[in-house]
Amino acid sequence: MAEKDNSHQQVIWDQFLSGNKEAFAALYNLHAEAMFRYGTKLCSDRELVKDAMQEIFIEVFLKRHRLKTTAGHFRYYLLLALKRSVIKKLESGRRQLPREEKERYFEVSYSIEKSIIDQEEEAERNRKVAELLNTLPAGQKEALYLRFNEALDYPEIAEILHITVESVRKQVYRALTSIREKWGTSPPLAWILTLFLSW
Amino acid sequence: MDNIGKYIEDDRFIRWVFDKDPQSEAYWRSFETAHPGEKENIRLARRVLKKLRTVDQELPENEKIVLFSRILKEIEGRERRHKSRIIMMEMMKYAAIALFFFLAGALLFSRQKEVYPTFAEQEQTAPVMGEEARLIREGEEDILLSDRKSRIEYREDGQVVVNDSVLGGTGLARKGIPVMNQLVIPYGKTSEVTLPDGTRVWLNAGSRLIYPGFFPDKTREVFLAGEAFFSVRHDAGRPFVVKTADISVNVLGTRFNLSAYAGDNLIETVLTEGKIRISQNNAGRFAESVEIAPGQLAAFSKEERTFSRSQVDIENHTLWTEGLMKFESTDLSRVIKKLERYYNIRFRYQDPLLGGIKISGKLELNEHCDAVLGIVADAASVKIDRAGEGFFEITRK
Repeated sequence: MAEKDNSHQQVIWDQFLSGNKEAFAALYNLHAEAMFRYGTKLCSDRELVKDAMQEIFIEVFLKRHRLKTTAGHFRYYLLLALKRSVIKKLESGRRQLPREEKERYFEVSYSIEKSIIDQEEEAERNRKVAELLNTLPAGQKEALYLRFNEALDYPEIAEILHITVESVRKQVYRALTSIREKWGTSPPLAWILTLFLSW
Repeated sequence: MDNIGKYIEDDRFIRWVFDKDPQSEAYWRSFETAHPGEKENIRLARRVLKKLRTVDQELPENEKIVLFSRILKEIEGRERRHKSRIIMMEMMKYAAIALFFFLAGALLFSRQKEVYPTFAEQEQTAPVMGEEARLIREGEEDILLSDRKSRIEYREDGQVVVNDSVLGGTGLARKGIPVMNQLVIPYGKTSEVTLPDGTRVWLNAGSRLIYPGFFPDKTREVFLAGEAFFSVRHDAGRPFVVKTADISVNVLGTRFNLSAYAGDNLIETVLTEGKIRISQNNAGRFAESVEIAPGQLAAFSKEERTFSRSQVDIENHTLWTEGLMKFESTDLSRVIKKLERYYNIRFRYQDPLLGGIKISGKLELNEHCDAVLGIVADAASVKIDRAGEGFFEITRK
């Protein structure tokens, strides 16, 4: 199935490269929401994020023949471009902030999911985990977000975060270890996470 | 024992948990059925991942369209800077075009999934097309059209009547504010709409029409993806233009059928009466345009970017508006494709060569689908059997 899916993506990509605006719209449609989701975590100003998206898509269409990306990596390409553009816009807007603070910004909040099957104890644990996730350092949050919410692979995340692939793994590992600690002694879940982490 | 990790590390699994995309839904559901021992692992892996779900700011649909229209406008502006004249359209028109490309793109997307179908895959992806027929008006709530055939009328006083009941709403159109309206007709449904200028449009299954609540300009312009029959109210001072992704049809007052499905290579225009001129979009001043006379068909090939003309039996192209379908030594595959759209069903051929069988006859489409398929099977001397919900298989007799 994945292969079929890819060939379909490839058809759209090829048509986009040849200047077909329907295909361009299809690509926009496919990625705009993810870009907006990611962008609004880098910066709370919705309009700034949309401006950045606008510039990126215009650029992508006009310079489509010189794009250094492929159909399969386009999502990553767009997110990286978005991050650069948002940071640039923020920097020109708030020069007074120390560099440290500018680069560390990544605002994510995790929901405390309510499930019918959740026992009270489980709900309490969920709340703790959400709390913990919300207090993770920006870098770890961003790594987790890109890995699990946007399904990027480790080398792509490394590129976006400007760190090595090994550090990305470490960030994700650290975050998940803290989750496990917060989870306390729930045997099945602790067991899963142990497995997962040693994998 | 390494069995949770392999899910949490699988991109497709992650996408399933977070995106709820129906295709992967079907994939993982059938995976689960095929590997019952993995069920518990899958459940646990899902739970772990769900803990990592973030609260996201969403980009609302209208903002998404407005943003894309800004993108298109800017691109067009920059592309034209290289040419001699700079023509800037109003934002409003860009919004319509953005919306249009968008929908056409979405249709292109969903149609092309069927280009490489295997039966197993079809079974999983088929029910996806079940979109609701609806009327979308800017600044108003969507109107769902549940009937198999809906009827919509824009009256001269600005009132909108759907299936005999008058719609309420803020009535921006009545206050003289031009707003875009959009009629979405999925596979399995049809609709008949009377536009504010009195022009009547029959929309075939799997089509979308975008038009303003009233026509403020010197030209009356609408956008079509899919198939429609137009009976245009004559107005010499205001030409009527139907735009599709690739071509535009210019008329004063006439009747014609236009079939422009995103997944078809040919865009076919058949004229019943009057005169029309068809031209290619975004082409230079010397680009080819064609005029056709009643009884003629103009076919535009998206691949070759050229027109060809031929004499046809008009009824073959227009009877669908009356719930009939007529064909004369037509390929079975063409008939089947139309039935797929009309009833929102899918077919598979035992042998692709069966699609080449020529058949002639007339079908009453309002009859039950099974009865219609029986007639087609007889006419082509093949067997058509139900192979699943909404699925049929064509085999040799």
